Amino acid sequence: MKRREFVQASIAGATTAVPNLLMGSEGERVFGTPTSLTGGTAVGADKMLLPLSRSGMPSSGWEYWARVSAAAVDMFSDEMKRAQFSARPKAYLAAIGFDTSRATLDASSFALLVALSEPVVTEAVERRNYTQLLKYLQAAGALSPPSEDVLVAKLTESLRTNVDMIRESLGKIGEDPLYADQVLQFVGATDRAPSTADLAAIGSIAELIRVAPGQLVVGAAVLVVAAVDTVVGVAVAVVVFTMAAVVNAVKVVTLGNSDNPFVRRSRGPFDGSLSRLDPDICDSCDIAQRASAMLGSPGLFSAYERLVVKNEVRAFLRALEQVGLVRYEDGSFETIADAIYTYGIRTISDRGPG
Amino acid sequence: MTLEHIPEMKLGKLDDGIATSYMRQVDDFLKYWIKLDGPSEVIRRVMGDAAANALLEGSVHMCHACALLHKTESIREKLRVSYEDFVAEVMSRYALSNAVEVLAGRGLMHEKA
Repeated sequence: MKRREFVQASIAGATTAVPNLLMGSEGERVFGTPTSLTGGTAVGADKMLLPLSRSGMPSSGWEYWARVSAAAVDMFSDEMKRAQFSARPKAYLAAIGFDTSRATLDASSFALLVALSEPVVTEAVERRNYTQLLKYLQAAGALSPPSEDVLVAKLTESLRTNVDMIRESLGKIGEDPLYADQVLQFVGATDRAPSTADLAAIGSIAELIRVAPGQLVVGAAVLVVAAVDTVVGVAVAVVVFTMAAVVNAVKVVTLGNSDNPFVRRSRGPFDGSLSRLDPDICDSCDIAQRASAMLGSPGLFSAYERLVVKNEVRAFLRALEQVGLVRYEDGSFETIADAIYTYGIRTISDRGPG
Repeated sequence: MTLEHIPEMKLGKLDDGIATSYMRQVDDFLKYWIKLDGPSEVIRRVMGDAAANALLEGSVHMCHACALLHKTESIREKLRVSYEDFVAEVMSRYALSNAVEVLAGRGLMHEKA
């Protein structure tokens, strides 16, 4: 069946077979019935447009801003202009037509251009000293180190609202826990066993975790992961907590570049995906990536990515604690976070090309 | 969610021509602003922190926030009245961001070499 026919059949089926369901759910929809079920957007719908040309800009405002942007690019291509910009960035911007209000001067893209116009950055790149480069960009305000706070709050919120729903979808009622064999079936994708060294490490991590009363850690882990998955779209079978996570990670490393689709989409338990819940981290990653590309230094982005992954591990563990699924002995949190982070990084790094 | 609930995200009809529909949007300030800061930040800037927190309560995804931005009459009204105050600053940041993107694609250090 062609896609269009399939969509039309689905719409027809949905509207004729379950009209009561649609009507019943109408009150729960945040924005009413989707327009694909009501014949599409009306031709005369009131569309809000905010024309640039009405804001004091020339008739085609966007052309003006395109020229301004090109002038900024040109500045970086010319050694003398670049030095002028580096010496007096605000004055230079004003001279080529930019707004120089506080909001513009606080923009991360401006801070990045200023930082990258500094000779010290060039020197750090030439020495491949990415740690120093990262520190410099952070000190210059071009990059922010990732923070746990927003991520913990978002993960906690999603866990609290989804855990019961996920438990129900898995056929679990009340406090009925999942068992290890179910977990293995759930996450199992290969027949390779982890190494003894990995098992030893898994055991040492597990010893540091204290499960909340009445819960099995593996059960809690799967529920938690499934709940997070519904929010950020991370593959359920890949992102698993602690024991299952590490076992799975080892399997992925062992298989390398298999054509198995499960393996292809596996990136280890923590790969930065959860950090998409925090727009500030996303913005910083974007800046790091662009700085890395501008400088031709992939190592810079890798260094920042590691900070993000470590922050993600910590936030995830904190969120688990916040919703009462696990708790940690005093002083053991850092060890647990470091251990899981190390395994996550190893999984990402060890895949390699070829 | 954007296409199903937000008429502004439908650029036009194929009969009008794709280029025409696209070019109709380049003068729309809101599109630039959303791309640059995201819908939640636009709501926060226009409505203030307290009102934005109340409006965005329970929103965990940018598509939801974008639908809120376009479907909430109080936000639409405030945008219509006050958007011109934000144009110079937002578009300057947009132009800077574009410059960074171009330089990133080109490779600053390679250019210099």
